Amino acid sequence: MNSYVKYIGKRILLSVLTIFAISIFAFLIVHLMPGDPVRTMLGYESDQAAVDALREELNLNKPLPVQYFLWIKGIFQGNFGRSVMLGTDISGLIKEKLPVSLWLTVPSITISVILGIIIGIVCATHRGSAIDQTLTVIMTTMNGIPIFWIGILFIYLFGVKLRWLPFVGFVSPTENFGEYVRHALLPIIICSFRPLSSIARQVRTNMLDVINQDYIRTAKAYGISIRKIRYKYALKNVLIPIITLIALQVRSIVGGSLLAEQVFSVPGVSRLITQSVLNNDFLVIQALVLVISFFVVFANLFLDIAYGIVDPRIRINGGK
Amino acid sequence: MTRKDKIKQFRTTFFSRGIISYLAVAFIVLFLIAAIFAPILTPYKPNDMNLRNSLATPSIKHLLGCDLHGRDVVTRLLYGARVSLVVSVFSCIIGAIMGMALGLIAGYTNGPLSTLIMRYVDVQLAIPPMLFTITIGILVGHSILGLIFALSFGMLPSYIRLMYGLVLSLKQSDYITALKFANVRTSKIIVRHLLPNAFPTMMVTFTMNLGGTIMLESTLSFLGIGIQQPTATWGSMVADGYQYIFDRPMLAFAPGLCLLLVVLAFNIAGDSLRDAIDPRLRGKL
Repeated sequence: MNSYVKYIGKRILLSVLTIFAISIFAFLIVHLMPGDPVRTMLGYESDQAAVDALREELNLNKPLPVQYFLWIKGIFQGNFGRSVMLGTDISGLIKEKLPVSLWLTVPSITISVILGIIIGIVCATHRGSAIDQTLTVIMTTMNGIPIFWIGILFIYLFGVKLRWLPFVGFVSPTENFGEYVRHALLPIIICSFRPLSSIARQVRTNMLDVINQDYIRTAKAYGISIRKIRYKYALKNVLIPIITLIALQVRSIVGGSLLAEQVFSVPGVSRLITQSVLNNDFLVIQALVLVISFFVVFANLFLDIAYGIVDPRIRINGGK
Repeated sequence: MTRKDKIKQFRTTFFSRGIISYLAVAFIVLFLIAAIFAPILTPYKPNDMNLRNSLATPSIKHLLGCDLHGRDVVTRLLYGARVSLVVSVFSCIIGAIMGMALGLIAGYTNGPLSTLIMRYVDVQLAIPPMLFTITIGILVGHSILGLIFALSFGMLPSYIRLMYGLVLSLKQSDYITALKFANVRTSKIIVRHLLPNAFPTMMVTFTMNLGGTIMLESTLSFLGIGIQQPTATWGSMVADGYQYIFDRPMLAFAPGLCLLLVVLAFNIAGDSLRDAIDPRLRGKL
């Protein structure tokens, strides 16, 4: 148990260091810009007084380490600065838009994990059959399909032709759960494409590997039922590596939500990123890179800890 | 086994997926032809506007019709293939060279430099890939060259990790140790023995990355933060067509379908290549 505490401690330390490195990267976005970032943000016709004011507000006249320190200090006080494009407080923007994105991405990851495991197992246990081949083709296609394009196809089919679902906007589940489902269904589905196909393919491969191992053969020789072998003995070893894969999907779903929010006009953080890039609103991008990466690192840390709970080898050896 | 047998075996494993593998190769060849011979294949220019043809329906003259500005859709698809090919090939080559060099350094030197490179990889991997590419894209500007640089930067970790792992495992192997004892120069060991050993695996990663990069470029162009108008790209064509989804759905469907087929073709080719190069990995992933 002691080594597990050590393992967790090491993971937490690494996560903090990673966040620190990312904060430097985010901080430098404004400073590595070619040209004058303040002029680019405000537009080239802006008057000198406004430029000077923003420069003062961002502490751009102070030395770099001081600027970084002041920026971080502000963030700890919940102050990310002000959006030049919208004129509003960035922390307020994040508070408003982050839940929207989480209402899309969290269900999406959950669905992908559950469905992915089921599909992977079905494929592996029916290896070579028509079901396996059909599902494998579907999964391969899902992995290569342009997310934005399939989103538009869905809108055309379900929104324009069949008129089953609304195709723009978002309603919070706390306001009206039924409307949330109707609005969020298609975005959640298209966000799930990549994670679902990766997880399903990985589960299939792992399951096939495990089934061919000696201990499974021994279990068969003992006359234990196939069902029990599959779901009690094999599944445990199949699912452990999947935790790492889920951690990877947490990263890639940000890309999916970027597209889902754009196609379905969902007012979440991803859409804010796109708009900020188009409007040269670097302070918002800086803040969002930090906040989103923080969530990703935190999710990974959580999964690392879960890894130790599921896999005794890590609990005892400390992940070595 | 003679060289001829080896080639034959390679071909058999490569095409072991049957019709799908042949289709994948066919689509890649079609894609290359479209990209390279675009100006010969169509009588129009991609940015020739003719408002009389605005949103024209398909006809003999314009097989897939025209967009809002009266530009021929087929022509823009062909030139879009060109942009996709140039951007993805160049960024993959740059990414592969930089990544392999860094991975080689990290694997071969065992000091603080190695630690620094590998920690950098960890940090980059903690930032969602698309967000990372977008951020680098802002720093280098919205030109084709800037995009190529941003895309190649985004794929660095995959090459660094691959090369690092390969070098570490090869360093342990007996024949490299023997070469060291025989006083063979380090540079010669790297060029003559390490790189050729790494080459097949790199080819697989390269092919897979080509598909992925084509997708990423289109995605960024769709969002309006990749290659700027009026350059024809499949991503921006889908974005433009999306506005006329009610009347002319074909405008958004056609470029997306091209994208799907090309990306799938590269993914399948990558899988087949891996099967053929390293039979131990068959059926993985």
